[in-house]
Amino acid sequence: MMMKTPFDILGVTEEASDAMVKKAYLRKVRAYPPERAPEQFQIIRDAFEAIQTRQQRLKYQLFHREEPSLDALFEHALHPGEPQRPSETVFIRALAECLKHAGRMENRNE
Amino acid sequence: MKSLFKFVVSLLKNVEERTIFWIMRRRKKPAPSHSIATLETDAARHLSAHRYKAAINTYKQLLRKEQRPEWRQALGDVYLQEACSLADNGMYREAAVSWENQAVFGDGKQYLDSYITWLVRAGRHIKAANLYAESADQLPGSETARQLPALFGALMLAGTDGIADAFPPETPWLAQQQAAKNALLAYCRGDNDATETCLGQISFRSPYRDFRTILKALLAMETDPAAAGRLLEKVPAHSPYARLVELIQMNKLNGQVLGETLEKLAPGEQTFVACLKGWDQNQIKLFQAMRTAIRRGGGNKALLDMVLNNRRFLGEEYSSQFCRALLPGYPEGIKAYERVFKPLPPFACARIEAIRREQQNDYSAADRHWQHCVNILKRDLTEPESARKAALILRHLVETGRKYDVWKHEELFEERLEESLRLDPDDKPTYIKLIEYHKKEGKSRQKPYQKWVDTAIKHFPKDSEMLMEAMNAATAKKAFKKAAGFAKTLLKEDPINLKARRILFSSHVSHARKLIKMNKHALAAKELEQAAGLERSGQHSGVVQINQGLLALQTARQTGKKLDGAELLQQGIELAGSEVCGCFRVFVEAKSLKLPEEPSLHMLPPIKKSYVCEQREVLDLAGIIEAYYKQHNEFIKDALEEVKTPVKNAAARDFSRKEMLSTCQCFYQINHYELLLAYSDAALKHWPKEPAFICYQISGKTKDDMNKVTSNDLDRLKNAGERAKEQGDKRSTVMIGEFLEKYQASRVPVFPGFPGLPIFPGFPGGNSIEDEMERRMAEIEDMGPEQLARFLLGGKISPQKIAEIERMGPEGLSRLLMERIGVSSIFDLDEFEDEFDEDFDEPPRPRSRRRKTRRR
Repeated sequence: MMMKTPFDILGVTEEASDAMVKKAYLRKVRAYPPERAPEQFQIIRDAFEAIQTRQQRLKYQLFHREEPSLDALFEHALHPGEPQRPSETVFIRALAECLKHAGRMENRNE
Repeated sequence: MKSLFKFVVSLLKNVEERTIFWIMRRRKKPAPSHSIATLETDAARHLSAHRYKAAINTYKQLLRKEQRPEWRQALGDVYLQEACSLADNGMYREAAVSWENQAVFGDGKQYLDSYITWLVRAGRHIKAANLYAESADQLPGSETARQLPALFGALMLAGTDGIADAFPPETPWLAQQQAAKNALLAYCRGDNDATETCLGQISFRSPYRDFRTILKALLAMETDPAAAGRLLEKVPAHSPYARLVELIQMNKLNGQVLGETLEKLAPGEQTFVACLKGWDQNQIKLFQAMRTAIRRGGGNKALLDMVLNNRRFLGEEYSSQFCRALLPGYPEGIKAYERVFKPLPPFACARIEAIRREQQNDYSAADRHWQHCVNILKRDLTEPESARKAALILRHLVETGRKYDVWKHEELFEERLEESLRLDPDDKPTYIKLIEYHKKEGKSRQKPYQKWVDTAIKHFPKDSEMLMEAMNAATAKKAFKKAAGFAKTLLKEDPINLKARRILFSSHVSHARKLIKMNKHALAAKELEQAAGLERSGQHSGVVQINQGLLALQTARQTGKKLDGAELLQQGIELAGSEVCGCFRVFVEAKSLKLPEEPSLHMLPPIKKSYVCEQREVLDLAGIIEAYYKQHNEFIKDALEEVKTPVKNAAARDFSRKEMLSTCQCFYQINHYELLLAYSDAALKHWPKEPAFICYQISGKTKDDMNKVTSNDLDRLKNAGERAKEQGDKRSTVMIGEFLEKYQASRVPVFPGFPGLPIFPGFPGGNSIEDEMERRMAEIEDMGPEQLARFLLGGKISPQKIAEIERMGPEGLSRLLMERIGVSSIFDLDEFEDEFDEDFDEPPRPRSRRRKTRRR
């Protein structure tokens, strides 16, 4: 799977300042602290170290070779908004389709 | 006529027969008639192989023979198994038909609960409901049967008509259906309180209990997602609402995983998930566009087109960056990009090309395109960050150039880094790289090394790393005062930096020595005080005290006062660790100061000739010698002569191999052959095959005079060298190699025309001696100073050897020269002494060692 860019991981644009990058980093760390989500924390930490300063961001922009990530595109395009409660119609329709596609029953042993 | 009639009849008969024959041939062959036993066996075989159709046909054949009850039962069982198998594969309609077939042959009660469920799955809800209503009391107590009310309840909730009519109005769980519906309506309109009230009316045993749990989880999700997750886990996997739970749990998924999962859902299910995610219609359309692009291969073209077409939803900035990142892999997309966004500037195009080449591992081509980028940026350095970008690209080129061996000339390394510093002078790592590069090249790059150190320290005057480098560079140049200045600054930034302390200490002591020699005693005393302040308590070496003692002696001598440096000298000796070490220090310091030794000797503790140094003493002494050697002190060997006997006596002590190696190396370094021989002899008794000790022994024995190297020594050395190579002992390999090279250099082949007269390699033979001499002298005149020195000294140059040459005087030097060019065996050099005096200027000699020249 293609990797996300450090900008995607921290949720900042390439024009972000040092302060904005740091703020985004701290926000992410609060959501994924090392004691609770060590793997995710490491990803966030690595991303921060890659684009912490203006020079690092410039380097990344100039020399980064990896093609953009579909994952990042999905996340950007389909970022969650304000959760809504489905209407009755939507709920019932979904329930009806769920019942149609319900899983197989277990067979009794003979 | 009759014959014609007969002919026609026979013809018709022929045709008819043929026709009958043809029809009979086309008829199916009747099935071979098998026995019952065979059919029974076949049926069992088909059944065990799950070939249900074949098993059914076989039983039907059996029943055609005989209507045995067991065969009817067996056929019913096969139909049942077929039904279950079909249901497992999701073919519920077919499964229901199979079950109905088995009901003909069986009692129609087996798997009734499954049959009802299959009817539901096949969409035959009303039939299923009616059947359930009729036969609920006949159903087994299976989980499937228990879930049927929940299933019907869910269907009613999902708006399936006609189900309620199948049940009597007094059916208990029907009443719950309204409560569930009301709860759902209240939830959908956002009335949490009403939702809770309605959910409270649903009992624990209600078929709607799972639905109640789900609604509670949906309410909790808005404030406590973790609690919602725990509630959802309570819904069992066989519940009719299990799939609804899965939909709700998709809220946790993101990215491509979510996309792939969503794609497998029905449209209503997707809409449900989209609501929970808070997506709007545009996002749902975008999701569909992305999935379409991925289904078409997901290549750069498909993605580029998709992003360009949906850039309003994705955002212009994001879309532009995303597409630009795609372009190196799909340069054909540049036109499409430029149609939508503005045309790419030349720098961006060049960069895309450079990145593309790097992706293709064509680093040479990438180098050219990156260089083009630099040239574009340099055209307008007023643009913000143009200079910095250009510098970054140059540094990137240096990295990739070295890594992928792109360049033909190493000079590009320096050139590009220098240029990058002109564009961006504040990059410390680049300075470090340049400094390291020149330092590694050694003396040939001394000037650029010093230049870059000076430049770097101007930019980073307080940086610890730079200060260390500047300190080392100044020390290497013997600019001790400069080194001390850097050390002082460094100690302000890093007060516990040991190297800086050492350098500053040495600098003060060296300066004090200079001042003593210049008779500036008060200033010298100050320097020594400052040096004393740098020594940490418990780590005094005695150098300061010894110099203070010697200074006191000097002052006393000059002022005529009573000698009072004795106490300080004694203190210094004690601090040196032992009497031998202390006395050695006194001798070195006194000689360094060029003081007369005699008064000092009276103050020193007497060292008996029979005294044998302790092991620790010898090792400490080696450490002190090493320290003086690093300071290029010329008097180590002379001072060691004063204490050599007890040191020599200690050679038989029980040193470890490592200790012996370091001690021998110490004596080898300073060319003290006597001690070297003593210690190497002792070492070889314990480690007879150690290559380094063999080399040390031969060096000590021959005093590095190649004429004294015997063939046995050579053999031993060569064997030792091979052993060292096998053992991976690089140091010994190099040391032995150098010795052998020196030996080879001293051996010149014999000149064929003049037996006994050695020649230089490459010189033609057949000349007279005078011509040959002239030729050789011309060769020598063309040599540079270093080459000449090596030629005279037979390879290794050291400060001590150079000092020896200086002390030789003109006649000694000439004699050496004649020996080297191979004529000393022919001429009596003494005859030429007068000529030597006329031809050579006498070098300056130390006052204490004035020699008388012999004149005839």
